[in-house]
Amino acid sequence: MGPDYRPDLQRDHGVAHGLSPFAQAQGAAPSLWSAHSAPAFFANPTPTLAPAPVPAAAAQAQTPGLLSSLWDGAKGLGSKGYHGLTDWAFEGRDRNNGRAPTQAEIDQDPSWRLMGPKETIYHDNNRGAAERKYVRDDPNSFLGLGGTEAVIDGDTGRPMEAGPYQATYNYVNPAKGGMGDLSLGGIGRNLGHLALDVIPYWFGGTVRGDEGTNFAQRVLGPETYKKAGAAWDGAKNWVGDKASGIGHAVGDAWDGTKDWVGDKASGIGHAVGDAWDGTKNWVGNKASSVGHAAGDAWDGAKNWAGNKASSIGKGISAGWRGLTGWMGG
Amino acid sequence: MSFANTRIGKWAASLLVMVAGCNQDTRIEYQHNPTVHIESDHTLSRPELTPFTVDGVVVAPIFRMLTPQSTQVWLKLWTTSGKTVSARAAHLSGTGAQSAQSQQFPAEHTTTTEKKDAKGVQYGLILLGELGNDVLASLASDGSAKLMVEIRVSPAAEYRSLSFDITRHKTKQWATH
Repeated sequence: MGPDYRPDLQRDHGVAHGLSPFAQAQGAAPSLWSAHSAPAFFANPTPTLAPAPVPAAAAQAQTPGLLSSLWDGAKGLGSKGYHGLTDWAFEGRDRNNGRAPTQAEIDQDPSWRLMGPKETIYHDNNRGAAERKYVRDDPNSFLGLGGTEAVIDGDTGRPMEAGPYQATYNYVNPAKGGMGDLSLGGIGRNLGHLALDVIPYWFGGTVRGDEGTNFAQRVLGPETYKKAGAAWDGAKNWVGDKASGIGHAVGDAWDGTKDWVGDKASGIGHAVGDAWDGTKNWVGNKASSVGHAAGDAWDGAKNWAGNKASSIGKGISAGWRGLTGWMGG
Repeated sequence: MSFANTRIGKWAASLLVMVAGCNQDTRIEYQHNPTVHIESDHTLSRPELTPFTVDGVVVAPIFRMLTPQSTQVWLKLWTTSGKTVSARAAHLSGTGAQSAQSQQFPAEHTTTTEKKDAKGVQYGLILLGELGNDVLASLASDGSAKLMVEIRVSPAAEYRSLSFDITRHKTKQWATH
C-alpha cells in the first residue's frame, strides 16, 4: 500500500451509505484510543491557529481565571498521561518494528515467514494485487515472544511504511503452528497475540488519531467489510423490493375489492332503479287506465246528458210549437 | 454471574467466534521434521540430528514460501564454531507416483557459519534456489518429497551426500495483526 491510502479508503466508502452499519464515518473515523475521540478533558488545549485580534474589553473578558487555568492544566496533564498510557500501542510498536525492510532484504533472510491471505487481511488495502505480510521472531523481545513485521504492497512491491495497513510490531507473535497448536506455548502465544496485538488494533487502529477506518472495518478487515457492506445493501434492496411487492399486492387487492363492491353496489342500484321505474310505469299505466276510464265514463255521461237534454229540448220545442199552433189556429 | 454469561460477554464471544470463523486460513508448509526444531531448541546434540550432521555441521533444509507463487529452498548450517561449508548438486524429487518428477539446483554454493542465534549457536545460510509453488505441490502431492544434496565442510574435505524427507503440513491460521 502506498502513501495515497486516504483516497482509496474514501473510494471504498461508496459501498455503504444511509443507516448501514457498514457506513464509513464521514471525516474523522473515531478510534477509541485516539486523541480525537478521547474525552474532552483529555483534549489537547494547544490552539492550532493564531488567535484573531480582539477588542480590549473582549480580551479582558477572555482572560482565563484561576479555575480556567487549572482546568487547562489538568487537560494538558490528562492528554499527556493518556498519550503515555497508549504509547505502547502506537509509537511503541513503530519503535520496536524499526525500519520497514524491502522485498530484496526479505528475499535474502529466510527468517521472514510469509503469512497467508486470510492472515494478512488487516494489512491488505483491498486494491489491486494482494499485499504480502512477513513475520519474523524478535529474540530481543520479552521472553522472545515478540516479532517484527514487514508488509509489501502487492502493486508496487515497496514496503508499506505508513498508514492503516503498515506493518506493526507484535508483542506476542502467533504460534507458528497456527490455531491447531494446542500446546501450552501455542495457546499462550495465540491468546497473547489476540490480547496484545489484535484487540488493541480493533479498538485503536494502527495509527494514532484518525486513520480513516472504523471498528467494523478493523474487525472484519477491509475486504470482508466491503463485501459485508454490499451484502447489507443487497439485503436492504431485497427487503425493499419485497415490501414494495407486498404493497402493490395489497393495493391491487384493495382496488379489486373496491371494484367488486362498486360493481355490486351499482348492480343493486340498477336493480332498485329498474324496480322503481317499473313501479312508476305500473302506477302510471294504472293511473292512465283509470284516467281513460274516468274520461270515457265522463264522456258517456256527457253524451247521455247531452242526448237527454237534446231530447228534452226537442220535446219542449215541439210542445211549444204545438201550443203556439193551437193558440194561433 | 460469570463474564461469559453477561450481555457483553456473549457479544464478545460471538465477535470472536465470527472473526475466527471468517478469518481462518489454511497454510501449507514443507518441513524437514528432525531439524525444524533446532530453531526453538537451540541444541545440536539430539540423536535424530546425527544423519544430517557432516563434520560437526548440522544441515537443515528450509522451504520458505517467498510469495504466493514461489518458494525458496535454503540450507541452514548449524554448528558450534565457525566453519566453511559448501553445497552442490542439490535436487528435489517426488516420492511414490511422483518419483519421476524432480527439480535440480546444480550450482555450488559456499558460506561460513558466522551468524549467531539467540542462544549463541552459530549458523550460516545457503540459498539453493527457487521453484514455483505449483511445482512443489506437484512434487509433494503424495505428502512428501525428497531433497538430496552434497555437502562438504572445509575445502580439503570430500563431498558427502545427504538425503532429507520433506513432508507437507497443513495448519489452520487466523488473522494476525
